[in-house]
Amino acid sequence: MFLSNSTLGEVVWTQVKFKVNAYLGTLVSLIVVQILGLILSMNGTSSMSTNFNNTDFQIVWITADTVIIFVSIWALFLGNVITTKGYRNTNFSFVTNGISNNLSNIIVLIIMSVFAGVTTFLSHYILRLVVPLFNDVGYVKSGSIIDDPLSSIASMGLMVGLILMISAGGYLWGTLVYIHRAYMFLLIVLIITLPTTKTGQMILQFIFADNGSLFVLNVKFVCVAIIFFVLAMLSSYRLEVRR
Amino acid sequence: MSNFGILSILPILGILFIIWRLLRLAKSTSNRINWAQRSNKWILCIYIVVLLLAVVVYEATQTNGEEALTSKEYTTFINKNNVFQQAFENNEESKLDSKFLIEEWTQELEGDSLEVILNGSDVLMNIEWTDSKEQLVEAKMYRTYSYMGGINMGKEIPLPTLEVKDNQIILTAIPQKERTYYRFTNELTFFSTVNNLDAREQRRVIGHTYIYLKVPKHINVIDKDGLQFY
Repeated sequence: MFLSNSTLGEVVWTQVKFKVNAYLGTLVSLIVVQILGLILSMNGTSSMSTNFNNTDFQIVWITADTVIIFVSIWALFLGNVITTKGYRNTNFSFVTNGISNNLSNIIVLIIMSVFAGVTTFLSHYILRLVVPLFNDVGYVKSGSIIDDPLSSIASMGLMVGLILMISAGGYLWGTLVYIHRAYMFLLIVLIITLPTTKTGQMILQFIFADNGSLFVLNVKFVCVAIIFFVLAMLSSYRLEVRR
Repeated sequence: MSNFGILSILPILGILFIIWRLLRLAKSTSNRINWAQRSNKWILCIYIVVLLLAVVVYEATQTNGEEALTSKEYTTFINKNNVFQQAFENNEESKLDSKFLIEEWTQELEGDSLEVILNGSDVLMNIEWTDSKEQLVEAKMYRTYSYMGGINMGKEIPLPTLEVKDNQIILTAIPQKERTYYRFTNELTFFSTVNNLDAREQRRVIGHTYIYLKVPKHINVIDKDGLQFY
């Protein structure tokens, strides 16, 4: 019997507010990661050239690809880090159980993924302003948020979906490591086996290729994220007692 | 796994290590320093303001720059270039699109010969032999569409210089140049269904400069450069 009864939703919401504040440091590290990616993007992601009337003609594409690679790896570690001992200990500030802890972690990861996706998209505009200052070259008018809002929202959504999927993978990985330390090598095994084995290639191809539209790709990202989160919750079902 | 495979994984592991250290540093900093929480909020607020400002400034200042083309427009340009090339090869002057006409001139020759000097210029030529007994040569210069990655190369790069003398046509290539353009895109190259490398290759249409000559049959056309006439 308690003086006050809290619903699961209230408990989760309290934890989410606390965790978002407690993990602000990870968002600062995200900024550092994005700046690092932006610096490496300044020379362009890809280029195309031809010779026309005695003139070597080159077009350099500057995209958010490098930044998103860096942020994706940040997301992987973010998902993993919040399952580590230091972060788990913050749960002792609350009366909690496995479900509310997992749900609050997932909501925190969703919030951070949205933040990371939106800021990654917007960070590209810093490049658009800075690169012309250092290069005396021509520019092709490029689609911006106002010119092409739908495409911009689709790109932003794709970045959020990708980051969410990878952070969910990191969360599952961290949860498995909590069960047994041998799972720590799972990521390295996956990095090596996914692109080199037939099954791995099929999985990668199913998720990343053969997509009719960006929307379908994004739906796949979210579905994979949900699968990872559910697996993480199922794995941690009997891990309420601290080891 | 091949050496290349191993080498390609090394940078990923390097980035993994750097980001892991950054996260560890962020965690230890927020644990040790009490003011870190407040400063973190400030850093995040400033960063968000900078990002939003960047968007506003970019939207307000991006007035110049070349307009990008759609893939549909590229297909149209490629088709029109092909139709022109076909008509040019088949000596069908009436089918040569006047949109591509840059210059036309009539030249009265003094002797019975016409010399064409190219001086390194990349020009395709065709001669239509006429039954005329006069010394008049009619010439037309065309240039078809050339676009790459949204840039109208025809507009950016000048034509070879043309000099018409008594019985000579002298074309001189422009000096060797390099032109670089930057193009920003919100699309992620490795996921985009429309902006992958194959699609980019389709976004390239390279045209030519053509000269169509109408020469009486009794005139001898001299080509010291070994030019291939159609």
